[in-house]
Amino acid sequence: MLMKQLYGLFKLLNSDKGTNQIAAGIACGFILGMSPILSLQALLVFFLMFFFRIQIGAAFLFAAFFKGIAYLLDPAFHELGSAILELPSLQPLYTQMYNMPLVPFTRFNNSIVMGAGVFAIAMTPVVFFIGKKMIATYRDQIVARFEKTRLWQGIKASGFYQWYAKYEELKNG
Amino acid sequence: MANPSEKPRYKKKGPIRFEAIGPFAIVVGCIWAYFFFLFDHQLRWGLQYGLTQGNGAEVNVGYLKTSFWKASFAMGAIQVTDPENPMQNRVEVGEVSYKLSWDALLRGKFVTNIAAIRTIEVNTPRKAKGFIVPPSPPSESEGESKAWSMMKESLASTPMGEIGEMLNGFNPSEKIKDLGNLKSAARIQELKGQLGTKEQEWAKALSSVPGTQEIDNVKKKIASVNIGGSNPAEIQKNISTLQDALKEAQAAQEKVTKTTDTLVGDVNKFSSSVGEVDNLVKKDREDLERKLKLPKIDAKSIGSQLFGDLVMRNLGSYAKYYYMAKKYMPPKKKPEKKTPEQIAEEKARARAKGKNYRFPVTTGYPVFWLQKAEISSKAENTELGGNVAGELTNVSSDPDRIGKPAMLHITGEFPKKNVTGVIFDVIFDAVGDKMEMRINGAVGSYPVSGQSFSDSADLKFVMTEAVGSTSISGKIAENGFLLAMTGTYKNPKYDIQAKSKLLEGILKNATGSLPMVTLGAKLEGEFLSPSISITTNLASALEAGLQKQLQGQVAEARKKLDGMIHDKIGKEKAALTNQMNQAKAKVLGPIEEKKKAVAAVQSEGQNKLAQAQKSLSNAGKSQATDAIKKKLRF
Repeated sequence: MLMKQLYGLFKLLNSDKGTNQIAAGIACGFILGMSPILSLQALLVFFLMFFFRIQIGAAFLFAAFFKGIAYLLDPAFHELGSAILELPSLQPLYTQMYNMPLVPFTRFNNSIVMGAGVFAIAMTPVVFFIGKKMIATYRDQIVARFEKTRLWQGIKASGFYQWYAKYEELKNG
Repeated sequence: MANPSEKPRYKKKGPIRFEAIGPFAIVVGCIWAYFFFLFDHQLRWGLQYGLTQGNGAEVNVGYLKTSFWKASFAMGAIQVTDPENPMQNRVEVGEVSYKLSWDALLRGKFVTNIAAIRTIEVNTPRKAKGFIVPPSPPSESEGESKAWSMMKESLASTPMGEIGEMLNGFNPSEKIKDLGNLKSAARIQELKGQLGTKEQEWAKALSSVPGTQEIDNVKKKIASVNIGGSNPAEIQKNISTLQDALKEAQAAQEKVTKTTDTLVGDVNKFSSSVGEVDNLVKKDREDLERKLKLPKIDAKSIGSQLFGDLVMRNLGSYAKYYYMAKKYMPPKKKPEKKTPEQIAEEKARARAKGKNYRFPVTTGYPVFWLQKAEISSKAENTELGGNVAGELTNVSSDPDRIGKPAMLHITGEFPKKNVTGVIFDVIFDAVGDKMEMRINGAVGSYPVSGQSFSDSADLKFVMTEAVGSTSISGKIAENGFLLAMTGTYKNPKYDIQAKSKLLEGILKNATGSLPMVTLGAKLEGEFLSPSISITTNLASALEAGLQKQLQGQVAEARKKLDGMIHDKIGKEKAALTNQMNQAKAKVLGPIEEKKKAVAAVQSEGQNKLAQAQKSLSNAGKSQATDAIKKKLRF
């Protein structure tokens, strides 16, 4: 399943479509990487990925990548989360949230989860647009250059490729 | 790259993944099918297994039904096998049902506002023999229960049947051919080995005791002083010499005492170790008595033999339930000051785990909370059922949070079994610093049948019929416990058959004289050293009957046992005592002599000093008289 998704990502990345799908996948991976795996927000992101056309392979790949980044940033998230959780004006809100059903499953009362969560909410649009930009650059700089190589021209001219291209066309209508 | 004028090769897909609905529906369908067809069965098997392990014998659950939407649970036809009688159920429960609060479930907690336990029957027969769980090997944490079972064993170590054999005369040497490894014999060998080494150590220490030279010097000094003469200046000089000599004698005495104190202490300590062999001999005799099952014929011991098992079964089970409940209680929080290392460790932990902030809990629940369970059962429902009513309240995984102890209150009667006046109150209080269980219970009247006191080839002594009543009260806490039980058995009838007709007669006479048997038992102390005391008028009556017949035989058997032990270790023990006495004399004799020599020198010095002081006084007087005479010209 995961391999299929990664193959899909590779295929999509090297095609000329699905830019938004991949960028949304990167953004979802960013949120997943910043959130604890067993939390309500992670579950919500999984549902979004499943029901909306978001590239799941990209989400998983970037979730693993951002998990490592998040680990390195834990001390900073701890400081940020502690500062937010200790804000006197928000104490009544936190108390209410702490006593609400389901909300405590987000683990918002943990300094790192809160810090990483706020950071993720603030940075997700940025990550989405950076993702889009990076995909476009990749396609312009790398894919276009690769397509001009003799190796690729040779492969494209081969009977096997022609047969595969026809199969893909028929498969996808 | 793509040319916008070209017709797209693929059909454009919208933002919603409609094709995912199918797989999602399949997954949801599978989950539903699992919970609908399999979950209840698997939970029932799991529960049966867990309850069987907890009970120590097979527990059957007839049916089990759960509902996700209603958050409800019901199970019934529950049979709890009696571990001591696998063909009988300890208790049979018609139905147990409860509904969980969704509000709590959404917070990850299990809270039951009200539960019901219906149709309770006790001691019902089983269709098939229940499986008994093999006992697990004792672990270190089971020290308490080990102490309890040891006490139980010691109570049952002198069966009544042996008394018959005693009454017909008894020779211990016929039963015990070999005394085996006696503790006293082993200790004698050990002390013998140590004594040789000690003797060498003592001799070495004795040679280094100072004082001999000093005492001789003082002695010579005192002897050299010549008392007499009339010159006061000369006498004064002698007095000074004697005073110096006495000071030296005092110093020598202190030196001797100081250096010999440790040595004398060691000798006396070892000597008392040798003396303690007598205690081990006594212990060996008691062990042999236990091995021979030599009966004790005082009322207390007879009471323990008759009712010990019953008392331990009734009262001891509460300790088991206490441990069980304690195991599931959260550990008591103790305020502690954090060390710098702990603070540093917390900071290091912040990297992966962060810090969890706690906000005031306004509508929170403990992880598990059974607020109230109603217990009800009506006699007409079943053949063996009882009229039972009661409630179980506030069973929780965090009593501090709810601030209330768990309570069980049951009243009932089982008319078809002639059991009436059942009242049972148990409070398990783990609120605050406490961790205690308080019990109060009584059964007004119940039929007694087959209460066996002895069931051996030598003696069958069974209370076949009586009307019993009992009450239990007590408290079990972390540091100890006190449990008391009283009971009466009215109009008792017995089945008494003994090999020894003499014993049979004594038992029949004693039991015939009692229209009612009374029982009082107390179990108290700390968990690792519990003590039990049982008083019963049946034991007192038996004591009176048995003492006349049995006292002589028991004393004779004891004497023979002493003789057997003496034959085995007597020579060795005498040799050790002799060797010890000699060694003691060798060490303490010279020390005593040295002390005496110092004392003698001191005494001589004191005498001479007194004489010198007297001479000085006389010389002074004589000089004054001469001067007056000279002035007055006599």
